[in-house]
Amino acid sequence: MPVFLIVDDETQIRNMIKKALKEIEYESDTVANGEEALKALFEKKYDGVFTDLRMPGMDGFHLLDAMNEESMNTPRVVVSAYTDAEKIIKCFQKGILDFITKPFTPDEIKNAAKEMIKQRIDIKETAQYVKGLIQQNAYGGAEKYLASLFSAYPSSPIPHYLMGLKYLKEGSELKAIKHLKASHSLDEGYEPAKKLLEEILTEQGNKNNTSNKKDQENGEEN
Amino acid sequence: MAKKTNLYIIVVGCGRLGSKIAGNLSNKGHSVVVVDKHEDSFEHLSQEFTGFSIVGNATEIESLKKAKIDKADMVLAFTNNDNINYMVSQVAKEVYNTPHVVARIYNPDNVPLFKQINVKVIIPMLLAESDFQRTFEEIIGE
Repeated sequence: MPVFLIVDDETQIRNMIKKALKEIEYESDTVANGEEALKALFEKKYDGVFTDLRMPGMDGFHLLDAMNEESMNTPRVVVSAYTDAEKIIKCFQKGILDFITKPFTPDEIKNAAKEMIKQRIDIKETAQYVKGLIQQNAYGGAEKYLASLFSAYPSSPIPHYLMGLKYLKEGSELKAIKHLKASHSLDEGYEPAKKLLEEILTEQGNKNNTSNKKDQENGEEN
Repeated sequence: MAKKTNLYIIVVGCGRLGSKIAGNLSNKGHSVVVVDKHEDSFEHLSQEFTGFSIVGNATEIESLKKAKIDKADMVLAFTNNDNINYMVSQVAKEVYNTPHVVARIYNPDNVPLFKQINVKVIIPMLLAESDFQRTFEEIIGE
């Protein structure tokens, strides 16, 4: 079940957003300012954040900045009484998905939550797509998606595996090994990385044996 | 289609009636926005009221836009002025196609005017009259 974080210093606003989300069976946690929100975001993975702007302590603008600095890719929507274009534009520049002005309707909250869900990166689907891009030598496009995958799934072995695959295709064997080892250490049971790493190391071993043999033969001849 | 349980309702006029109705509706779980030109009027709202309040003149369309009248499921025109209530009802019904509009009317002569634009009406004088009639019959019947 999708879970959202609601950040607002007014209890009644928090409850109104929570209630609207509950109607579409989305769960939510609530906090009263930016500091509490960051703490919650470090502790738990959310499908989206609804944040107010004017709050005591860390306000919404600073929360958006902090989320960007921490490379958090959780989708975020501002819910604020501010209606001036300057502030709205500023928020969009900080990467928000939508800006809802107060008073808001339950439908506005529900629609924004659904949009945030759509923004979630499906790791399996994206990984398949990135693999295709690598096979077609479209490295630029692959890197763009890889960056999102690394940011969204830092503890998954998949982004490192794909990175290894990309470097291997580019001919940078050492870099590929480094990423495949990282992938393997994140999840020893992840077969694709394990298999590819073994293949590379076996091939390297064979090469070394062949060149050692050649060196030996050359030595004997001399 | 499933019945909407959380309606977005705008109450124009935060006098004794408007504030009472706004409080009841918000207690029932609806999203309520109250508009009144006097900020002091919001003191009538109960502590349990969990909606929004907007200071604004309902005769100015900007105040209604600020309340997001275009998204309202219901508009209640509850000021103490029939003309203002008519204007708000007309804007809601004819400009924004608000599904449900209810107006309070002081002068029963104005009822046909409101009915013409398909607005439901509450007429305190007639309510009092029928209430009195019932009470009178109870007394006589004793």
